[in-house]
Amino acid sequence: MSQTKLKAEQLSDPIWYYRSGVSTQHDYSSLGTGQQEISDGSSNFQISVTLDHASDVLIEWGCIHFTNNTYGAGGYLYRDSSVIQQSNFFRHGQEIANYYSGAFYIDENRPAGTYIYKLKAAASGSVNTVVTYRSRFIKATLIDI
Amino acid sequence: MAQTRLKEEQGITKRWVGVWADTAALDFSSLGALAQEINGGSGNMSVDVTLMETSDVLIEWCLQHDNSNNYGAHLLLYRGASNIFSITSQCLHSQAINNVMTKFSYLDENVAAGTYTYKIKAQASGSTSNTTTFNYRSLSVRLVEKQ
Repeated sequence: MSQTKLKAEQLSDPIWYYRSGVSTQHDYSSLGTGQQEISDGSSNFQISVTLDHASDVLIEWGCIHFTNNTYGAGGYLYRDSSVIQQSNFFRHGQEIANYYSGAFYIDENRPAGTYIYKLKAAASGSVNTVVTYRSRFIKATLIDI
Repeated sequence: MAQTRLKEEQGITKRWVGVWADTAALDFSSLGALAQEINGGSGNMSVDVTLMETSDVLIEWCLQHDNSNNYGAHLLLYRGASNIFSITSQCLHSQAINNVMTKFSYLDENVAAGTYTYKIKAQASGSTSNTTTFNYRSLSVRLVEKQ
């Protein structure tokens, strides 16, 4: 029988990262096609989680963004070096401002250890686009197995 | 005020689905006005739950969708064959727009012990002349208890 309950004390600090009032502009015409960190200049869009035993980890994230044309960017949720979730989170087929994208992911059966969860982004469709990332958050909630 | 926290999920056999390997395009002009499964070939938005006792069940979902015109879709939450919650116009943006994220949740209270399938379906909103394409989508189910 599996049991699940919150045990936030098992997560290392910080389990919650947010930035408000920041604007991180990615001009992909100069950045190219590679995936980029979404940074406020001093920290990246990420959290570090330490599990003292095998667990399920609920990751929730969100980000306000706008694009300057019909292109945009794809978002990639990483656990360390592995992409665990991806989609065209920051591309809307038209110029659009201050739209929210966010999703959740339950990372099941994670062995004990320390993991970094982070969002990265890359141009989608064309590098002829500028995407500005604004207020953002990512948090982890531990769910016992 | 009641507070809610997670409690033992002793009965949940699979607590979430996350699909982004395909797109599920629902052309309501041919599908009509009935609620439709959201499945592009990699699975629908459906989670099975077995409750060992009467429980409160928190259902959360998020998805990303495109609209081909000014219309879009309602989303409907089912427990088995019963439509227990409808989210009017959750995927209706009055313009053609792509990759819009949306999220919602529902607390299904005092559900008797038993096995249930929770599922999200889509239904044409405003007009059946629209095609709504669902990209990233996920559905999770957790037990909660009130204190």
